[in-house]
Amino acid sequence: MKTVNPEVRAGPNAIPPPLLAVEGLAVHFPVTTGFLWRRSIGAVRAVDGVTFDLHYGQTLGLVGESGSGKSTTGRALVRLNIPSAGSVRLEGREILGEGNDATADLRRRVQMIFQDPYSSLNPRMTVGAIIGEPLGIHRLGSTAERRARVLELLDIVGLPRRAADRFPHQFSGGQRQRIGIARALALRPDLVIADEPISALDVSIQAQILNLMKRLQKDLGLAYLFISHDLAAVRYISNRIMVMYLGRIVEIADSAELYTRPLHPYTVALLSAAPVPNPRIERNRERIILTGEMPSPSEPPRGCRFRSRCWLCRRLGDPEECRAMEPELTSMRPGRSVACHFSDLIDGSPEQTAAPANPGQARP
Amino acid sequence: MLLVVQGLDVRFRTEEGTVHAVNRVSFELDTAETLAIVGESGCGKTATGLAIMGLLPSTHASIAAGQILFAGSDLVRLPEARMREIRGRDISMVFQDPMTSLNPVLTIGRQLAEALSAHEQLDKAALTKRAVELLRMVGIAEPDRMVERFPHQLSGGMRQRVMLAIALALEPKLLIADEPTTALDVTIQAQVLALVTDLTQRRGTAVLLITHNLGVVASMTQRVLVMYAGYVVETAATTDLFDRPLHPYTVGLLHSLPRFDDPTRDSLVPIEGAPPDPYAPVRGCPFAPRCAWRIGVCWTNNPPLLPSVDGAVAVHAVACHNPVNAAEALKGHPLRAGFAPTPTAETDA
Repeated sequence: MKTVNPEVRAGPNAIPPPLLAVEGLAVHFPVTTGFLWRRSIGAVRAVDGVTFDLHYGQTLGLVGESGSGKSTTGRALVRLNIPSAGSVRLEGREILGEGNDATADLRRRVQMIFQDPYSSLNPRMTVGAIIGEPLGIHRLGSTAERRARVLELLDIVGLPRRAADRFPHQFSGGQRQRIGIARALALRPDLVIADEPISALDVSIQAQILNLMKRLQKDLGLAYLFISHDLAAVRYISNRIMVMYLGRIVEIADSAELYTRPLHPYTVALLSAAPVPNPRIERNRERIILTGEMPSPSEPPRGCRFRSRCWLCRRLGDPEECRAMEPELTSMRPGRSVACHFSDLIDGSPEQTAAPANPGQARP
Repeated sequence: MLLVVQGLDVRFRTEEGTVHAVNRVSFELDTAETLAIVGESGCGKTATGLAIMGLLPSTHASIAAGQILFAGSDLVRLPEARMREIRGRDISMVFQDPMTSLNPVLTIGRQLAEALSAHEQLDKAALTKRAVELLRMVGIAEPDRMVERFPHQLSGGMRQRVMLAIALALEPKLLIADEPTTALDVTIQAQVLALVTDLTQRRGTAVLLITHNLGVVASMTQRVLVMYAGYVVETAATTDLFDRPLHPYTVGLLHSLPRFDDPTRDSLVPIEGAPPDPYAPVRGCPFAPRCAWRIGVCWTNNPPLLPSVDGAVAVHAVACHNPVNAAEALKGHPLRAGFAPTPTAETDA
């Protein structure tokens, strides 16, 4: 049974809702003490109020460093981590806190690809059984139909059909990631959450997987949430990108614009820190080297969370705003939001124009 | 010349057979120079570093041929007792994972003291003082408190700073850094790389940087060796290699990387196929099965590393029967008649 979503019911002229609308999503892990009587003494606020939309057939990139909450965000969307607060709507239907029907449908339509193609495949199952397992769980098709679908999926991801009767250990890392992708596609999802899907692979294989994901998106109309720490890979595959720091989104922008015109000091620093494969740019680069490390998400700094490492805040003499008030993610114009009290000082600054994607940088 | 490696062959004996990890590898490295060995997993870059350090596991690895001349003496033939004097004092190494290279049950100070006392006679107070100085040198705040800490109490970036402190404690002539920042976040990577540059440039320490990251190669090194299947397939000055790569594998690597620094490059040209099987004996060029430029002879003859005709002769060398021309290097695939213009659809065989 399909529930009619409220926004469609609102009238023929209503704008269709995005595929996925996330609002105020939070995932807090309790920190407990005691042996038999566990007491909660605090919380790791891994994800702390994340809001974004994801549209049909689009790729939304999610970048950040370890501990930023990017993986927890992705996992919360498929309820591998149970959100503590917030709303997640798929085509306008709330999928948090609803009964099992909605969850089952969500699980079909939102699938996940994991980082490690070694630990995410059951070593005792054949590749055919791994790819066909979601069909069995959702009781789709007869045995013969499932087998046919498995072979079709192998074709789609560029693996030979004979792979179906083999075991994961007989495949290389890149091939295993293809198996993981085939499994994710078995139920014809609308949205695939890819959590660092290429990070464990060699460079030459990364490009194969990125191109495969692009082709699948075109052929099958998939939307991706592409989670990665690799700024260049995210740029390559995404239409829009959000940057996370310590459980919060600090910036959202169109893919090209984020790299040429970053507006958050953290984004500027990330782009400045990443070495690019161009010795001519590298030779003349002045890097912004952030001091210190990301604070613990159980005790984020008061005020702006980036304050303890922010080069701009330091330059401005640690202003009151940064200490007292956590900046909200504010829309600058459609599709462009940033959470910084002083982002207007970033725009046009030498630090911003020093981004390697800007014209004027040496390029052979 | 500080280090001259000549015709190095390293073999691993395993249950499945012999792995030819390093084959006829030759290169030189001078004082104050930085050289990168770049390649993917299993290409032999780490084994080369371990061979120089004399740290290949003797139970199942051996140097089958070649010389490693360091300041005149051949390390391959040196007795272990002499090697132990050199290791840590003249040549030292940092590894990818600082958690597994530090002893979890000893304090940071104790581990620094151990490294120092292996080569120098110092009393306890002097050792502690030196340990604190070293931690300060690598930019660790409150070093006198940090010497009391255990590795697990430190973040990954801090542990790698401690490893650098240990490696550089005795001012070695050569630092071998094996994927020193691969486990670190990008902002921490920038901190650690800046530190490596600062500490080694100031003292004229030669650096052999082993990495898969071409961005790190571009920012840190003067020369590069590209390795594939245990062979050096191309070597050049870093700028030359990126400007004008000659080997199809180098071109493939460069075109496999998404580039946020260059928005005009909006398509990737992956290297087709899978990395080579380490147990299968190589006949012909090891890259031939994945190469879009291959010709008949590639299946039968493994090309030697020879100075290239175009480009400065002595510094740019390539092991290829059919090197990539300038226009093809820009496109990432062959443009000549008789070669597939674009590689076949993505499948790893």
